[in-house]
Amino acid sequence: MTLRGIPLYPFDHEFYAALVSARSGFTKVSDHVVEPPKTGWGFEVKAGQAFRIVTVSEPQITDVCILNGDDPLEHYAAGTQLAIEGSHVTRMTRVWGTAPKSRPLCTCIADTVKQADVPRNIRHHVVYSAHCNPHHWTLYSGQHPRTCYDNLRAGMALMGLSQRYIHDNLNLFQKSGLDPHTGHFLIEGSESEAGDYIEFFAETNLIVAMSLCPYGGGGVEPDDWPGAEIPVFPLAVQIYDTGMEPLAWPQLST
Amino acid sequence: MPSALKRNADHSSHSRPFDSAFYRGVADARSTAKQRVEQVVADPAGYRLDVKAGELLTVELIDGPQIVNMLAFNSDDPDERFWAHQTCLIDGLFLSRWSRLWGTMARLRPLMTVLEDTVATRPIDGVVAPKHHPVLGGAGTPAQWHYSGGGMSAMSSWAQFARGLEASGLGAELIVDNACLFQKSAVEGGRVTTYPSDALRGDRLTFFVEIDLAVLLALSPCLDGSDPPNQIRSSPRAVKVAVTEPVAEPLAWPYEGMGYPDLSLYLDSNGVRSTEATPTPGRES
Repeated sequence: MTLRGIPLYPFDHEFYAALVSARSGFTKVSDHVVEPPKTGWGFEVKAGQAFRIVTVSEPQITDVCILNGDDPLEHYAAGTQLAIEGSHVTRMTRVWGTAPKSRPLCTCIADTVKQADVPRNIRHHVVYSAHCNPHHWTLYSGQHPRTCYDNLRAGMALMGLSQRYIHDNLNLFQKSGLDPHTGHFLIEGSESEAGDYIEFFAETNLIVAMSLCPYGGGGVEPDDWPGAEIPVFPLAVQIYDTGMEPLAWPQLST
Repeated sequence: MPSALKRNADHSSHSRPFDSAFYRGVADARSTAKQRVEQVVADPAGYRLDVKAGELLTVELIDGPQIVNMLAFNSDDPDERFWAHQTCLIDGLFLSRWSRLWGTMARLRPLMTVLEDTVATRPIDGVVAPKHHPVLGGAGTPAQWHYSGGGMSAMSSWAQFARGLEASGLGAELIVDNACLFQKSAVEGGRVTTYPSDALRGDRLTFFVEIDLAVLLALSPCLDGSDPPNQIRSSPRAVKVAVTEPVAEPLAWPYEGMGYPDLSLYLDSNGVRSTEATPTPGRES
């Protein structure tokens, strides 16, 4: 939550502007396409590397858990994220971790998704919308597909972690907002296009688990899930060496 | 399942079945319920109380408006704890009467249900629909307090929770998100902004406890949200916490006839979430 008059956390705009400017010189070190039927994935990113998630063909939401690669008990903290950065991620948004370190885990340095307007602040790349799960799907559709929870569990398993490490997540390429009148969650179909991507600079060593959401691009409401054929599309994950070291983050006493 | 049970929150695309007749009956039982605990919480040091399924928990303001941060977890299995994000998806950002607080996977079931919310929200010129009791709190971390200019002598809500957990032999990693009782907030653009609380002395929230829980309360050093942290000179205001004897047997979850997943895919032989690093059986991807 944002208290009126809250000072901004330190942010070295010059450093990140230089990082963005240097992107064309980044060296790609891996390129992997996550695609059905393998809809859960996990990967490591070293501090100072960047990872890019790319829409390959059609709009596809991905739920992404981000953890400290050296201590996975430190992970993305969506409530803190909402308080500091607001409800959505775009270029120069930092992705914040849990207390007590309460530091940026990564920083968004590129976001190519465009939208014509933002009625009710329904935008892409949401910070608070959690992940779909077997309860959700079974209740609404009577089916239990590979939900985001299952996909994230598979991604965590690839990293040697159990389902207990699944926590708050980012919803990238998802177009959502909160209705200011009711406080209820709103979602519309994603407008990402083939080739659109979002890219993050790793401030620490990271473990990332991701899910190709069975919700697809988000255009079908849960009430319409029964009998619906919701396509799931691939996303590419690319990792780059940036040649830049992350800035140190000040330690605070609790 | 009757369609009347299908939806609780209007406009929520993720709502869950809700037996309103049952909860109205439980709410009616408040007046005759026998109290077993009544405690004034004045020290911002992390207060824990244990409540049993079927009991009523009331948090009441006795010294003026005060934001009270709350988290709750299954007292037998702390891995099952309040999940703010699913609560927001299912019931919306703000708690009010009949809102439920949802727990984490694998059970994803109601932990508590709000029976009573006496706070009346006044409109604010130029602000769309402010409300009280948002659920997506970031636990008021020490860093948040520090970078807001708060005095270092005050204990952040996160630090209060951590102290309460430590006293229970539990780690601070359980603190992920929390509900912000009596906090007035509004969704403005991409922000959830806090305004001075409209709550008054005597205002209260009463919860029906759905399973045995440990509840942690933290008195926010931000008091009622009137002033930014760098202008706060006072200590948090005391609140009263009351717990009754059980007033009703909670409804079994899931409701009869409701679609529900096979929990054996997620739980181990002890009935808790498996700690094996394996995909969901039958859904390996």
